[in-house]
Amino acid sequence: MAALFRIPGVRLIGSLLLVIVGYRIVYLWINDNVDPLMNFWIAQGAVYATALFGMVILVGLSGQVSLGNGALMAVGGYGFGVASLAWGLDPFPAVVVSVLLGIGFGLVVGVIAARLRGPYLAGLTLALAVGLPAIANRFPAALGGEEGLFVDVSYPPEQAVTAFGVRLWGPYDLDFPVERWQAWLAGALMFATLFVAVNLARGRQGRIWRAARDNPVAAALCGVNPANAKVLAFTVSSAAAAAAGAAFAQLLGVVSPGAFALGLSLSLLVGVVLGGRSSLTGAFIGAAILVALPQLVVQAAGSGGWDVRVTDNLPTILYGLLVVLVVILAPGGIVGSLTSGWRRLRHRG
Amino acid sequence: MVEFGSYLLGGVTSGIIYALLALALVLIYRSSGVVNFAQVGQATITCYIALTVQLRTGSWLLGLVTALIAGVLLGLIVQVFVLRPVRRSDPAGALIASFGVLIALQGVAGLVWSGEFRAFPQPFPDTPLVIGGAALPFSVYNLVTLIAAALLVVFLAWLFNRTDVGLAMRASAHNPEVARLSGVRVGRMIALGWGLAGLVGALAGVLVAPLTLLSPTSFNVLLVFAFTVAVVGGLESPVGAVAIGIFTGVVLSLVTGYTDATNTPLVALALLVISLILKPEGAFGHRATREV
Amino acid sequence: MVVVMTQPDLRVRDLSVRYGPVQAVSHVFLEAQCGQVTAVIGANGAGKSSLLRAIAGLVRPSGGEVHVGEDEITGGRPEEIVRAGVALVPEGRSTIPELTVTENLVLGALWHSRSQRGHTLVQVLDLFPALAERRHAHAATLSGGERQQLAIGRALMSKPKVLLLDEPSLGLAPMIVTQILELIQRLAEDTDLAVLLVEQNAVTALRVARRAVVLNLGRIVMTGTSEEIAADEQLRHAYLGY
Ligand SMILES: Nc1ncnc2c1ncn2[C@@H]1O[C@H](COP(=O)(O)OP(=O)(O)O)[C@@H](O)[C@H]1O
Ligand SMILES: [Mg+2]
Repeated sequence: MAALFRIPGVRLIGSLLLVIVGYRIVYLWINDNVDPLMNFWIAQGAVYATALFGMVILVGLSGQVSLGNGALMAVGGYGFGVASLAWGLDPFPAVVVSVLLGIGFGLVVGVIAARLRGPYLAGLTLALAVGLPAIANRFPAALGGEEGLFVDVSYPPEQAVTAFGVRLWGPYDLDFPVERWQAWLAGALMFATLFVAVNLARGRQGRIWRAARDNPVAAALCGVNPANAKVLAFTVSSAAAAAAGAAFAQLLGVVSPGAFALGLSLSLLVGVVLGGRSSLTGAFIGAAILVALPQLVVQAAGSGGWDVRVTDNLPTILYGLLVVLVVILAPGGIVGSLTSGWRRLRHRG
Repeated sequence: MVEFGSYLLGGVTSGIIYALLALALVLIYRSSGVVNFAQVGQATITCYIALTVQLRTGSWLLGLVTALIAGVLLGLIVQVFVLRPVRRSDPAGALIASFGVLIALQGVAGLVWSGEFRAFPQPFPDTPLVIGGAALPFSVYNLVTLIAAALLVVFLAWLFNRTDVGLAMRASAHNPEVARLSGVRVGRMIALGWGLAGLVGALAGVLVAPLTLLSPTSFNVLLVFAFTVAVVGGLESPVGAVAIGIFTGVVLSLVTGYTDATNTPLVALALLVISLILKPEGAFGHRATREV
Repeated sequence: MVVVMTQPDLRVRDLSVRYGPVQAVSHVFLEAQCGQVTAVIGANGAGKSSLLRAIAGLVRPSGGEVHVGEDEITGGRPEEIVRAGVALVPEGRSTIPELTVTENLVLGALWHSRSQRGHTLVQVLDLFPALAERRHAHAATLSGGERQQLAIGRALMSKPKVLLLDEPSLGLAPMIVTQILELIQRLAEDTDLAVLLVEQNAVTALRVARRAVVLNLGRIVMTGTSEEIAADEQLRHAYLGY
């Protein structure tokens, strides 16, 4: 299966089929059969996964540690907010606007970043994560200041949406929960991003990124321009972050500096490290952990009668400790450890 | 004109604090090639410890001393238990681990001391000093910060340039293999560098905390300023860190004073971006030969 | 009965070094006696550096033992081994360019008392007048030959019983090489030091060494006096390439 995916044509069509079937049949079926709260979590997970695909390409494949992807999400979120509020665009065109904005922004930052060594890049992206959301405070008229922009959640369309005669979603009835709609949208963006990410990561470009990361000198001798590879990785990851930011805006109903604070960027780093730095599958696992861990702590707190202070801070502490432990004991993350464990088992047997 | 003078001096004071934090980053970068993003997390914890001691005993000085000791210990702990075990073949991992520590420490601060903003006592009057009826454009607090930072810098310069330990630390930073072959216990020197950085960071924290309210994440923006200073000054260069720190402090203070505070992080970001575009390896730094 | 106090010798028994699948040194036996230079010669990649690095503790041997006199130092850490009296001058002018000449030298004896260190410093500077002249300069400003002298001086500062030299001639003019090696030879004889000299440049090495071993692909292919090895034409053609 994995081997088949290395053949370009098979990969393109195979991944397209996978994404369509995965979204239209599996994902939407799940959405239709769970309660609104669960759909909210699913939407949240889809937002994280979308951004984490970008992190896998940036941090894992091209080896650029970024703490700024939360800020890149903010770019997408505000793009979506302005496009739908000020310009009155529908959700889908608004997403296109925010992704284009993400690409443009990623290109600019990527060009600067490609020349930097690890710690400098990490610091630059950190400064972005802290500084960029502050722009909203600078332009309160256009961007809503500290309060943020209230994004119209654009309730599900009146009719079932079809494309090429295939029903994408709907119909809805009067008690159609808004969370299901949010999960639909976030899921659509997640699968679209996955499609792009799989085709880039599994193909020639993936090899180029790895080569430029592991041995830039050798890669340059083989005709690969390591700087270009890094810029492309940054741009793709920024586009993914922007898509995630648009979905996030939809989900929260508001884009504000607080929603895209440093904590979000750090969460993305946690997610990509725990799942497995260079694994797209790991991005799903990382997203699941980011959604589930706080919920588990809340539940444990409920049954254990813990203080709110514990509930508020325990997930953060666990994230930090898990990141440290994973980096020390299993740098490949959960997926990396599973695959190397599996390989060892096969070699023995 | 009076305004300008007070912005300038306020800028020098906060610049010195940025410089101290930047110095902490530089100390560690030089000894182990890692930028310790957990530095502000460590400073936050030591500040809370100082606050607790002050509230219990009523003594600011005792709080300061406890914070400094805690800073050293925390630096040692982070180095020995987190950074040392990270594989040397994984430089990205070292960066990521330092963020893991930052996240965990902020969580711990929230857990133990709650997320509320706390006022940190200011033992020195921050009003213009009056001598012979004339109000000077600086306060006792400005003076104390200046003197404390100057003493620390002199102490570090003496330690590095005049003592055996300093020589061993410099050798370990420049060429660990030759240092080991010369009988230097390099692991200890690196740990010592982290301990010293912890001391410097703790001092910076206690000095800056009265200016802002203390919360688990209130130092995040300081991390950006300190990093900007360290990068503009060259991550390799203590002199650069101090000089650029004061410069940055003054610029940011003038921006805050003449426009408004929402511009400050943006100006810091702009300074960082411009300096990285102009000189990707820092203004005072040597071109790196170790990494390609 | 008269007890003659001599410096201990270096004895290497059955030493092996591997890097993953690569066996760089296989079952090497050798002895470096005090008061003389022992040469290890062999082509590039023969395992000479690996041998020295294993003795000095920079790489952990995969088997075998290293003794200095009565003490076993196998698998010790480099900072302990140098304190036990075995100093390595690694390949390629191993000085720290950011430190001054004096600092580079003092670094080699930080664990000695200040007075003892000062005493050794005078001796070492006597030995290398070029360094004495430039003792306040940064090592970065020295010439290649001066830097090699500085590296050797740093090792001598620790008052070693055994001195390990890894290709000191690399990249230096023949005149300077001869100067340095003759100085080393005199030093060995005068101070009863055991010197293990690794060289690719066999002619020069054999000139100053009393005994030598020839290493090929990690194995010893010949041991003998310098004269025996220099006279063995077949060996010269096969392994030493001249
Ligand atoms: N750090 C290392 N990792 C892997 N292989 C090494 C390493 N150092 C040396 N080697 C290999 O070990 C062999 C011996 O190398 P070395 O000891 O440097 O030889 P010499 O000093 O005689 O030129 C060579 O094949 C070399 O490629
Ligand atoms: Mg060699």
